[in-house]
Amino acid sequence: MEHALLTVNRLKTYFYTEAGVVPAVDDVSFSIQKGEIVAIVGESGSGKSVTSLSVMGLIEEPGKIVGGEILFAGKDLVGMSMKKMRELRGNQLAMIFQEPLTSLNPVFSIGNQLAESIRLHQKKNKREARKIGIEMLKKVGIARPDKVYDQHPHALSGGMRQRVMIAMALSCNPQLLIADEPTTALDVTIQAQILRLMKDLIEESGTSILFITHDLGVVAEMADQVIVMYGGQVVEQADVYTLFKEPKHPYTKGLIDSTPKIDEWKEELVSIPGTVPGPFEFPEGCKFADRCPFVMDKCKAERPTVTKVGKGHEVRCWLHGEKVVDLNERASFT
Amino acid sequence: MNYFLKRILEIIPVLLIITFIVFTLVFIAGDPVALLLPEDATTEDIAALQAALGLDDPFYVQYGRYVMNMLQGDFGTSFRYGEDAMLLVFERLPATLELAIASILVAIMIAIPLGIWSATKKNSSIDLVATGAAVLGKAMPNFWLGIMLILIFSVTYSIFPVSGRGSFAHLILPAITLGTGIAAEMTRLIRSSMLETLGQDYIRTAKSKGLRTGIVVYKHAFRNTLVPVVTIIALQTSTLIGGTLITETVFAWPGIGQLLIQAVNNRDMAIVQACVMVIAFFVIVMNLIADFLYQLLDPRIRYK
Amino acid sequence: MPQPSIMQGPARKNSKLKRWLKLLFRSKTGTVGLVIVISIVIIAIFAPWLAPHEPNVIDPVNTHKPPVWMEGGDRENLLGTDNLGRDILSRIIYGSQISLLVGISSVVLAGIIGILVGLFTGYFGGFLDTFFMRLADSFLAIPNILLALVMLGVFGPGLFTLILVLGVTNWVQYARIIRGEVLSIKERDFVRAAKSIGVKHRNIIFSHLYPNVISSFIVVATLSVASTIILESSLSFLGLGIQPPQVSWGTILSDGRDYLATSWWLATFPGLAITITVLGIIFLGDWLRDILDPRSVK
Repeated sequence: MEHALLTVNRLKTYFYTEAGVVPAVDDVSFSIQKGEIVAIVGESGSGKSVTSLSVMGLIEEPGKIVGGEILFAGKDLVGMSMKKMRELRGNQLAMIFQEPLTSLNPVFSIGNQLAESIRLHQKKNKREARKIGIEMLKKVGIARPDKVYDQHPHALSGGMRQRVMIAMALSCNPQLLIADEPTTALDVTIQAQILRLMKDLIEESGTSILFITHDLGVVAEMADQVIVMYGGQVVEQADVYTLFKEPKHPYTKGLIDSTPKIDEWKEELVSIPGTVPGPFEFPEGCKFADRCPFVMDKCKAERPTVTKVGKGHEVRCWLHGEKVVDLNERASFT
Repeated sequence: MNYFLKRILEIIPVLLIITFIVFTLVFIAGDPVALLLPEDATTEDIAALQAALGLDDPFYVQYGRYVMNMLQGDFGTSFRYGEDAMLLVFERLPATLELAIASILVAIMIAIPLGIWSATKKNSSIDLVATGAAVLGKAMPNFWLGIMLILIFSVTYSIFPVSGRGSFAHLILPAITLGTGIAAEMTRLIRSSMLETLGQDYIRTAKSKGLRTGIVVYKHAFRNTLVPVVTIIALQTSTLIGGTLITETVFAWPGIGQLLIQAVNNRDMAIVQACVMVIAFFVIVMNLIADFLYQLLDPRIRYK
Repeated sequence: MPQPSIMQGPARKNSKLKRWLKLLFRSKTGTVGLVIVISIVIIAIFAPWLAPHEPNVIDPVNTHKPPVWMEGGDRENLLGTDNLGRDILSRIIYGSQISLLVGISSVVLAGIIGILVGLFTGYFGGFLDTFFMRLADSFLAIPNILLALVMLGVFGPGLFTLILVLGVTNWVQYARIIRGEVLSIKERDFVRAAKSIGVKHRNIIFSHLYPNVISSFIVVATLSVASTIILESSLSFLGLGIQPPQVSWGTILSDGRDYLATSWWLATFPGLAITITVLGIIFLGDWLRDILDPRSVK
């Protein structure tokens, strides 16, 4: 069997704050194949962004990766030297962020920031970098790229800036692109354009994407594989069709039920009861126990283990611990 | 452009108020006639001289005349030197500027690296030493630091001259005295400004490109910190000038400070006025320059 | 499986005083600052009992005596004597009285002016506000020490004028801070509510605005006691502040400056006294800021 491009194995990233230790990522495992788009879904505080920053090696004090491994093209990124990590970053491993408005340095021109990684990783001179940079801007659909190249970020709109970010991230043909809520800050129409653009560019180059989002609509549109995170843990993962058709974890089901769909008429939108607890307020056993409508005594006492419920379909829930329970037969969220 | 014009026009009332404050003080100080005439002068002599100088006019007439004279470039005559007060101030200006510029250079050379360094290594021992040194620098009176430097480097080891102006060696101790005092506050401000910049999203972007920490810090972060830093430096002008007054006295540096303190002791109010006006004008202009530079350095403002 | 990761629950609620004290002792510098400041205050109050000698008694036989640990020094004059044979330690002990007196009373004076101006201009706005802010700009364009120098030249040196002059030169910073606070507070609901039910302006200012601005004043005031002590010693050093027979650290330093080559201790110890005192006040002030200023909560 061919090796996956990225394998995250039992990753643990903790934050050592003054108030106590926050297990932001707690025993997370998943893998991404070449050319595959994998989405991590979850509410804020689920650990999805920390997971992506861990892969990039951008976890800062007081955070620390305390366990597990991150295998990228066969090499473990955890404990890799700063120098080697920098050679990967921006080159084979690229990232775009949520806030296009603040993610570009306001005092340098677009070109300056775009050329930076091209010159660094592809060892090009200034003129060649400019050529490649303008080419990239054109690729991401920016009109008059040679003019934009010399402009400062504040002359561009949010959508344009996110295009620039994408151009920057793809300029060195990365093998893996991590996109942390790339469209959340944008208008709905711009969102669709940016997603379309990413998909097109990826198909061309064969780059894999780790897509971080809280929006299931985006997941359905983009992803091949889906990972659902809650409280720093993976609660369910499956391919996108299975996940939407047969969600096993009550949380996944809740997320799906609370997303409006155009083709389905519903009396009212259901929502998951309660809110995500604060970092120190998760229950002892299953982290979802106090919001779960199917909660059992065991859930409150013991942390659930991962169960395989189908081909490539895993769930961390006691309902599926010993025997598989069909959620659709039981009481639904109301 | 409109904004600049508005800012420049705002200076006028400020300068006017300053002339008023200064004139009121001089008025309270009493007339210099007693000092000008021999001790055995009669009351008639005094009255005659007062009338001749216009000193028997009411307050507002005298103030009006004072402002009008000032607009024509006449800041009065020093009764001690018998010369145009403003000319005397201008004679001393180069010495003070030399000290001020040298001190600000010393301050910049200390504060910028130290501020950046301690910000990038927050809570490390380097950071603790730097912030500790900054607090100590604030707590030490400047004139005492100057005296201690003289004690060590001039009296005990004879490395630098004790006082006076002339060679480059003369400049070193006064510039270090004043420069370190300013560097203390500057380091603290640069550190906090740098810390704020380092938390920005674009720093994370720069790191995600695989840039070396040096480039992330000195290109991406520092260039953004530069805007507040320039403002900080310009706003230190008032402290700087205040500091030169006393540093000049410690090192017998023949600048405006010495002239002013002598004039205060001699009640030579023409020189006092001229000094205050020149210094206040200088501080105001520097603040204005800071404001303009701020606009110039920050493309976010430029594009609006 | 138990959950090992959540080490600590949210902090329990303590009484205000207990919380402050906890914060004080957690902050090492705050504790040091408090200890220094309390010591200096005790030294100043009990100076006549603590000082081994009268500060101005001249002893022509024992001039330029070095400190006790040096050759020629003895326990009679622990920090040595000056050119007139006066005991340096006693002079420094008495000097603390002047430093604290000038530092605190001029800050209180500046505070009263600044708070009143800030409260009224911030609350009423309009022409009064514009005028006072331009006045503040003008004061800020003249370095503090320069204005103080000129005023002392005009009114003559001495303790009383020094306090007055330093108070007048310092009011601006308080007025600006208080005005800024008032501008933000006066738009809040409780002030609007008070206005709408017809509470008198004077009562709004003193019973609603004043209590809300006083804590930021205390922080700034503490820190500026420190800078005022430095300013006082500078002016006294220049001969325009405290006059003999009163003893200021600045004048001791100024006396000692002429004897650097022979008696280094004359200029060194008073400077150390200033530095330690100011350091203590800065530490205390920073700690006060941490507990009183909600914006600086980390």
